[in-house]
Amino acid sequence: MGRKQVIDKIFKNFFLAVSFASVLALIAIIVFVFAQGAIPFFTWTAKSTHLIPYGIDEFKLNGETVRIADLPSNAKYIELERQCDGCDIEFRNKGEAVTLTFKIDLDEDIVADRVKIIETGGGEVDYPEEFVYEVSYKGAIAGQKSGFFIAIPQGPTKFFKEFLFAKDWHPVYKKQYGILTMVIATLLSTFGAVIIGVPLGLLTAVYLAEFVPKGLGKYVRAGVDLLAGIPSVVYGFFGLMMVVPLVKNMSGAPAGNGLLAAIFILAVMMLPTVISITETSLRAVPRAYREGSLALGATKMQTSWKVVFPAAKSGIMASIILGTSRAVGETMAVIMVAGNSPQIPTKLSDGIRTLTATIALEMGYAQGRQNHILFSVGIVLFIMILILNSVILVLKKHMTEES
Amino acid sequence: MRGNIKSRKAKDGALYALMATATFFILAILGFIIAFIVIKGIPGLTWEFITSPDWHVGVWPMLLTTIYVVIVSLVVALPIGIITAVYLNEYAKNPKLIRALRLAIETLAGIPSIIFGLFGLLVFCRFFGFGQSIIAGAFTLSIMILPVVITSTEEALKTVPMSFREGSLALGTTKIQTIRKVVLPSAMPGIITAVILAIGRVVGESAPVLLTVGIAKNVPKSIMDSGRTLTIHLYYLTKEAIDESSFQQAFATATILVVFVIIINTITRTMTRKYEQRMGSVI
Repeated sequence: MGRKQVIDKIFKNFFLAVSFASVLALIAIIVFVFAQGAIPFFTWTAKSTHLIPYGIDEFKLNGETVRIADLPSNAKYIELERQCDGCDIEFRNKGEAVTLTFKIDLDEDIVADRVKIIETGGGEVDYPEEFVYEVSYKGAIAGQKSGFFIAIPQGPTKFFKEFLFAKDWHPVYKKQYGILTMVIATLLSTFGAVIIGVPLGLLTAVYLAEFVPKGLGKYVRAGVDLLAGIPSVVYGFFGLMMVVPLVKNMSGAPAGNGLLAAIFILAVMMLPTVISITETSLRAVPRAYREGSLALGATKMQTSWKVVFPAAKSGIMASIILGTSRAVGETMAVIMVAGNSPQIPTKLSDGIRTLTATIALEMGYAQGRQNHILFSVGIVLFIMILILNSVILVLKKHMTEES
Repeated sequence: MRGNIKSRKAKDGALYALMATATFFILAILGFIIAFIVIKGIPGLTWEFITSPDWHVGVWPMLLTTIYVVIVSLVVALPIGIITAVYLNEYAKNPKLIRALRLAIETLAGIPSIIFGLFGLLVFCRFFGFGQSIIAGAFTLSIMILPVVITSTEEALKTVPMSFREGSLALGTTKIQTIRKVVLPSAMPGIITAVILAIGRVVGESAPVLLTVGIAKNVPKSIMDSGRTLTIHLYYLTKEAIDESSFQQAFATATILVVFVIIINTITRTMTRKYEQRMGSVI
């Protein structure tokens, strides 16, 4: 083997290795997103209950002295036992000795019962958000307060009962992560877009493939390509400035942001996918089909719709499914027109919030479990798309068998 | 029989009218969207709006961020994408391997952009510690545009006639020399089209950019900084609109994006047509 052949072989293997970048990327995306999104369903939000003091420099916990200055700077909390029958805290407030006693039992069914304050020592007990208790004491100066937060960990979220089929999405205070409203919103808006977009797209595609005058077809195709290239925020912006006010005027609802506006924008956005793939598959139908049909006395119209169209049905189905996945995955355009309130819509003008919108809207500030849950929402979206993709794979197999 | 033919003709005519109406309805929507945005946006599209580094006045910081994101993502995606296309089209023989690669590429192409955003946020921003930055966003987008680059480059490679390769190989060149000196140069217009398509995709993308590049409004000092692309700027202008001038800016920003898309589409169209003509004359 000469030097040249060796170099050739090295290049070949190098190219093979680089080609696996797409495979690696795909695997990495699946592994990372699924691993992150699975966390809420298997783990507790923290190993133990956290005691977070504020306005207090030093106190005794079950007889042991804790100095805030000694705590590591990244964790200003003290971990408490999972089960404690009587945690005692002693400290001095306005010069007086105060004793706070409470019980923790994380196995208690009702969240509010997991911490029982037995003695407050003059403090005020509050429940500012789910899984957090606050005991506060008045300071020497009016308005000044000191006290403790007792934050108990949240157990694994139940996938079906508390996530997929739960209606309440109150991620911050109540820590409820039900996404049923968003699943329904995504399905409804996509379904609506399909109802409008698919017939329009199919009619146009058949016109383009079979009937359009030659000079005109070029422009129509250029238009469809342009429709595909317009960024989704621009669609969203147009929807916000034009479609939303229109819906508002027509329906008389207080706001036009909602299901109908989302359906309209998504329908327009899926058109190019439906049109171009359908047109391509119509063109792939052999000439002999058309000639045979015409020779039997069918009109051109009958031939197009009753012979060519059915012959291309796998490709047409694929175009519809690809259009559908574009609508399912669309994010920014929907955020801009849909109103984003997590509710099950009862009217076309009601505001909706899709799965994608939730991720994009809340990722900026989501902490802890809420952040992980947004990845879980991503998984649900991912699975929807994978199902649609696998249908296309089956169709493709059909297509190759047909030809 | 005659009545039958008559009713059939009427039916055909009605269906034809329906199809033509659908087509023109779609074109009308497109025309309306473009006209609506451009007419309202042109008055705000001043020299100052484009070049002012102050984000209160103009979009210069956003333009720069967008350009940085485009350049970095292309630097990453182009070599990988072109090499993958070359391998698939020129080397790969094992059908199972080809099928696996294609399946991966197609699946990648079908993943919603927000999922790429989640991945980029997790891996590039958090795991690699880039934070929300241009580089994290560009890496994320480079994975996203890989399928576009690969499939369009492959299309271009397929149009290079077999005789070119055979002629070159017959002259005693190695395969890699043939690819470098004959196949790639002949496919160059198609590859440039792929690049332009990829640029269009990156500029128009928004959801993953929001998650990975962030929303900082200042001129980015380096690619390690957070920034705001034009699309995200348009989103925030409408979200945080306080008065008429915000909408004026939003219309102008949208106009830049629309004009950009029109330019990209025109270039790719002309290039594809010229290329097809040239290849047609060779074959």
